[in-house]
Amino acid sequence: MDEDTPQDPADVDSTLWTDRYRPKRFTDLLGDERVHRSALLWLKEWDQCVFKGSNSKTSGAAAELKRERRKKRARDGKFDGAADAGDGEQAADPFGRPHEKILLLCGPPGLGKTTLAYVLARQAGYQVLEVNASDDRTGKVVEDRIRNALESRALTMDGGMAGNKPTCVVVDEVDGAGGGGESSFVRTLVKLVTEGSSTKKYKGKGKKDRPLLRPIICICNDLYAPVLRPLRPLAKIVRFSPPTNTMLVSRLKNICTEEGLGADAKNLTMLAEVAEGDLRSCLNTLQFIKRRSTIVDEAAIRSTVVGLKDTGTSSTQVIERLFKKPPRKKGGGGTDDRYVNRIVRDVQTSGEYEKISQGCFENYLGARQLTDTWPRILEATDWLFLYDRLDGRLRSDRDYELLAYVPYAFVPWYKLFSSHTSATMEFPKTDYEAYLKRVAHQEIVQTFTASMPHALKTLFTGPNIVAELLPLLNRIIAPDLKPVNSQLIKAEERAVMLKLISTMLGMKLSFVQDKNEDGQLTYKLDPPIDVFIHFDGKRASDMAPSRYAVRHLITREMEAEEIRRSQGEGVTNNASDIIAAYNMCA
Amino acid sequence: MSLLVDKWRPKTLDELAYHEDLSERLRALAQTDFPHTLFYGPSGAGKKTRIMCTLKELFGPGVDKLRIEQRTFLTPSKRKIEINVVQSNYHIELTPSDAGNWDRSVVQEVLKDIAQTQQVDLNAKKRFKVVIINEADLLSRDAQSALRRTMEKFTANLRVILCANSTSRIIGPIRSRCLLLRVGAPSEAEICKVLAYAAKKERLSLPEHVATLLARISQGNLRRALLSLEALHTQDPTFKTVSASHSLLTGTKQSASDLDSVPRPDWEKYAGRAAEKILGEQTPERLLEVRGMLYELLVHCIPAPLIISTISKRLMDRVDEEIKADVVYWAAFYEHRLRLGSKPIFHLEAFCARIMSVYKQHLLGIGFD
Repeated sequence: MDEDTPQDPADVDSTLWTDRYRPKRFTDLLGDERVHRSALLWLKEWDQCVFKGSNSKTSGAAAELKRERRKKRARDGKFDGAADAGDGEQAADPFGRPHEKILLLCGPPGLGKTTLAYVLARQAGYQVLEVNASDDRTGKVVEDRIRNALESRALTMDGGMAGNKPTCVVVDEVDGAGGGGESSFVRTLVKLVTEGSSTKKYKGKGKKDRPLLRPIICICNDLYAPVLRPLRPLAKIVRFSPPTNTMLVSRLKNICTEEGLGADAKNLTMLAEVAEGDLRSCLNTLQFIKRRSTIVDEAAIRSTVVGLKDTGTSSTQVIERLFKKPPRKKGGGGTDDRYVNRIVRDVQTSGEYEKISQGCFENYLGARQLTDTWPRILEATDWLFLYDRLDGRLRSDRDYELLAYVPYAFVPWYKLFSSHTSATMEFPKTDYEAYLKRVAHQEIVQTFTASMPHALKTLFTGPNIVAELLPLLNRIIAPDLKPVNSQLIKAEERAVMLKLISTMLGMKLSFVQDKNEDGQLTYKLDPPIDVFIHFDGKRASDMAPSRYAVRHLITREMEAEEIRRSQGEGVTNNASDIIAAYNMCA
Repeated sequence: MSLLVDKWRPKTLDELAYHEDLSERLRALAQTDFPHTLFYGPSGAGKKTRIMCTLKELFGPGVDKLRIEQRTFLTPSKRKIEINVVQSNYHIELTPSDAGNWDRSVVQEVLKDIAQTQQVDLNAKKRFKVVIINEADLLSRDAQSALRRTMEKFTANLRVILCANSTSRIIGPIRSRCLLLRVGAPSEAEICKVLAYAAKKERLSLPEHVATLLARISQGNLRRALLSLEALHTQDPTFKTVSASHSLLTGTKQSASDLDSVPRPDWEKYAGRAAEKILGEQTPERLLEVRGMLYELLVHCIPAPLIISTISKRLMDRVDEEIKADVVYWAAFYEHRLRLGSKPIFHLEAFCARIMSVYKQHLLGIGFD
């Protein structure tokens, strides 16, 4: 831009093309019509609540009637929880609102989510209040603003401005609303929605307990952003996918014709591909090109899109791209030899290296390989090692300079395992599940070690407890006893049992009564160190199954023994003494 | 009341069943000024038992009065960590590796605490107290450095006994300050002797072949042999399930079922099954199956290096002579990686993949590249 001399003020006007060609009507929208329609349907569901009751709201009698009805419902106990009305009670919503009070539009940028929200609101007869990331979005501010906006209609109606439309709040970029805690934006929003649905609270008539009577549309890019977690179950979720290239190109073509920009379908297709279906970025690019020339050619596109979009690629997407080759381009030029930079960029923008490594690890064996199976697998493990090594250094030594190399550890996976067939990628979760289980098991070990006798504590340390003591101890405390009356027991069995009881007491192990899934009573070991002889959910084969009656017997004997010990009689080894003591206790 | 392992544990140097020359030396040392020592040797060889016997020799029966204290330490980052400490009037026993990354603060605080107070008991035979540090080879470098100066400075009040599996991870300065005492694993015959002794004390008849079998599978780990004896006895009081002609005893080639029919810890059997799976079929699908088993082992808190060594030992029993060297090489290779990295499952799987590849090539008769 060395010179700034507009030839024609009308030609170089200040509006962006994206604004100029923003769809005004529902039929103008580009993309999957089903998506648009489902969003519209949701908004229409509000009509009953927003428009039907509007004229009756002025009369106090109708409101009274409504309140009466609500009270009755509250008495019936249908709505006494703060929980939202269930599916079956959708029609029974006291205000005639749809089941989900919030619409959540999600999808990558530039597909027209905001546009859709505006078009829908207009179509359904609302005025829009937009709250976006540029506004102050602390919980408090938002609560006041949204509440005022949503409840302002009654005032304007009273003022006789019949032409005024009800408000629909559009919360743009809701995933960018940071901050956790009680007063965060999303929580406030959730509170706004759930509070109203509890009719009991409404009786309190506090200003803050007023129910939500207007639709709220939220827009986000990443549906699974952690901040949205509380919102997701309350919202109707509508996902956007990029429009097909043909649709996109024909729309671009129309716009180019209108703007007097020469462009052929091939170049526009390329533009659409580079932008990954992002209509906004296509339009911006075209407008930019228009400033310099009147024709769109490949060189022009290449030169403008150097600074590609900096969208956060999610780790799942990255993993998918590592294992799936992009569709072959028609008409030659389909060599995919520039994958290194592409992958590195993807990986870097995602930033979730650990997740990606896990995703690679969990998916690579399922990838289709025609030849050289083992060399490929071995090479892959080498790259995993590189990643692990770098990651370890990063963490332990805080050598963050190494971070630059990490993305390159993922590049070879593409070469090794990508294919054109779309394999189903599994979200990496095995490792996390294993981690959780291991932590649980470690806790069992800790509980057990804490109550171990002193002498054993000096004998077994660290991994020896798990590797040696626990598996064998499990066998030591599981002798083959028969479930007979303790008074009929044979002398040698009695000795075995006494030994068992003293061992278990010494280790502070016990059996606690519990019910299994079938409702049967069982005795479980506590602390449950028997998990260490369960592999693949099966108990060790060389051990007799524990019988309820036996454990019951042992438990009673242990209780008797404990009472005896607390009475200070010490351990008795004489069988007849035991029986006598047992009879006393029983 | 207690387990066999603990019940007949030697309490004095005279009762120790093997390594008599070592016992003799310890006795001589206890008479004079006792130095800082480092006991090292494989697991279950009797290091701890020897240490306790030596303490008894040093201080008399007072060391048997043990108590457990829970101590709280404050790390430099103001985090509280709790650690269990076993102690008597004369000694204190620490396992600093329990504190993970904070082992340095534990070592510093406890040692200073002890070093700065004198022996309270005027009747004590020695003027110093003893600090036993378990798993000294797992101490971080920081913690070991923290130890070295204290060891020199407070020799008047304090002796340190370190207990480790290997000296390789102990830093040089510490090694040079200690008297190194190696406690080797007992031989099979020695284990048999101890087993027979314990059996006699317990008044149970232990056939000789059972003792030999237990000694053999415990691989020089006396503690494990005794535990196995008790476990086996509980399940099978007459030892009738162990046949005298077991292939492990006769030395013939062992089948998979033979290796599983001896009393071993469950995880070891499971690892053995994983090894069999590796040899059974070499496909990515099978590797996936093996991965599940590896995860299962890790979930059961089995340390990853132990998994590698167990699997490779089992493989060694089963593969042909020609590729045994490769198995060992790769086991070492991947265990090295394991120790460098932080994600054990990657390297365990890589090891299994490598073995599958090597084994397949061997089966197909293709040379190695």
